Amino acid sequence: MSAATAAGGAVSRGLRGGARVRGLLALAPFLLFCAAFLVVPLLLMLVQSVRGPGGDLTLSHFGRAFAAEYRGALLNSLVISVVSAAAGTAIGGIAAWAALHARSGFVRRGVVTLANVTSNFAGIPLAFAFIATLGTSGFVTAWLDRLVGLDLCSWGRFFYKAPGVTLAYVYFQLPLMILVITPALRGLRTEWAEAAASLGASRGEYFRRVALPVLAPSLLASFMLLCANALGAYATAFALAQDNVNLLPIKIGFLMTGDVTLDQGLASALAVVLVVLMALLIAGYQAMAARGRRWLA
Amino acid sequence: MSTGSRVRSWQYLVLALAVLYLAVPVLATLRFALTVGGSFSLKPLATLVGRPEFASSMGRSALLAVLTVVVALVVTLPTLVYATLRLPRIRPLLETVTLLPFVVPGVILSLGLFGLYGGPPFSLTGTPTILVCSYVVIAMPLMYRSLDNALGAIDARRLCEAAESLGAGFGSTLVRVLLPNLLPGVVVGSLLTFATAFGEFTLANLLVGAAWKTFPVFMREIPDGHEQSGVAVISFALTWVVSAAVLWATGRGAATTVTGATR
Repeated sequence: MSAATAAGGAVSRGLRGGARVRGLLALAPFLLFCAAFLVVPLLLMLVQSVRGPGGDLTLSHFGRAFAAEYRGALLNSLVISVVSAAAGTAIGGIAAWAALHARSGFVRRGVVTLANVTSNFAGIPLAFAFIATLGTSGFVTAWLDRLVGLDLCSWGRFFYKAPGVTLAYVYFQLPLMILVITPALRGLRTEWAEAAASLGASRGEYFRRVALPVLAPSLLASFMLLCANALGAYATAFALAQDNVNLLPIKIGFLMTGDVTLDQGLASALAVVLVVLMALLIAGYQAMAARGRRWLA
Repeated sequence: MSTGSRVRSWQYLVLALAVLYLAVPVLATLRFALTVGGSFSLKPLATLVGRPEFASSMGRSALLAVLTVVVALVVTLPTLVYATLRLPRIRPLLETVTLLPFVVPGVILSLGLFGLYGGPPFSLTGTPTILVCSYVVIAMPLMYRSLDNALGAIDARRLCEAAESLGAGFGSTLVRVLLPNLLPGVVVGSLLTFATAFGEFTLANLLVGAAWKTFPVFMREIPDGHEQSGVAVISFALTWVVSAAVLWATGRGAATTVTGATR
């Protein structure tokens, strides 16, 4: 890429007038497309979140967005994404580590393949798979019932709401974690462990004073990516719990499809809150991932 | 093995747990799709495939996905090549724009598009057009990165200089010289874009819904649990074929179609 970029400068010095017009023609469709179907709609949404009924500037929509009903949705969304991301980071991180250093080549390759295949399993099909597994007549539910005598009625109330949604989110967090963290784990060189050991460090000391500081930015980056991944999710929760789970994306979708006419100001304010959270998480992810890559050279 | 990288048994236990967590739902779904009352049966699958909307919605989604791939290629490829070779200053802008779909969840994009295209003068909601256009945007990071990786792997500058010294313009250099060399990236980007468009639910449900039912929208309305499992197995098999094809085409590890909009 850098070679091509450097060469680009040399070529562009020889740009003629006709070529410049053609260049604009080459760039225009892409920029117009992104403007028409991404940037302008988002800017319009931002405007509507602060515009009152008379066209005046107002923060009343944000006031309503942070009032009781929607504050609950925001908190629920945050809790579900943090819990599923924490579980994904911890379990996926340890699993990736164990798989990377497994003696059997079948395990090493198999786990990455499994993560690759299952990382694309999300949305409606994932919700259906979880219903077949842990729903009231699910495979694992029946097995648990035989084993410990589950109360199916209270299990149903548990599963088709926030806890079930969290379990389903963990399913798409795990493979993503394994795929994202494996390159960072590979960057931990065996020589460092050997050097630490030859200097008399115990396994715990090596982990605390060498491995963890090197991995910390990558782990934090992955955690933030996973949080963002769950925060914006809609299809999985919608198929599993319909409107029984009070999440921000579900609320916004409900405002759009509900019986009453769309309250554009309120919906836009909620959307702006969600986008700001997503942007902070993705920016944090990028910054931390860049720091983590220093060790991978 | 050094002390630092020896795997403890509790770590293998966590790995086993993770593998079970990922594998059991797939197996349970397969079992549920192929049994009725505890014994093997193809009846749920037959009923599912026999539903009149099964074939029609699948056809709609396939059409949508193909159109999305074509538009995404036409919009992305010339821009990326031109920016890389002649206008490197604009690349950071392009990279920022292609990152946006990661930050914007499908629900938010739907709301934004509904505000602009929900009524006159541009009434596009309720039509497949809005879906093709928005799917091109959602899949942009995947298409852009696939093509950019392929572009980084060839000596684009020398190819272009050679073509230009032989008298070829930008258009014919692009189509007759660069495109064949970028084919692996084109294939991977197209596959990922196809899979994203084929499986997208949120925008299809919120912007179009019953007016033009796509496969995922049809999928969600299936009432019977066994048929739900059947359709989950079918869609899992489709994504599995796509990831296998991507892995085969890249020969590398990362084939994930993760963007904010598809969860």
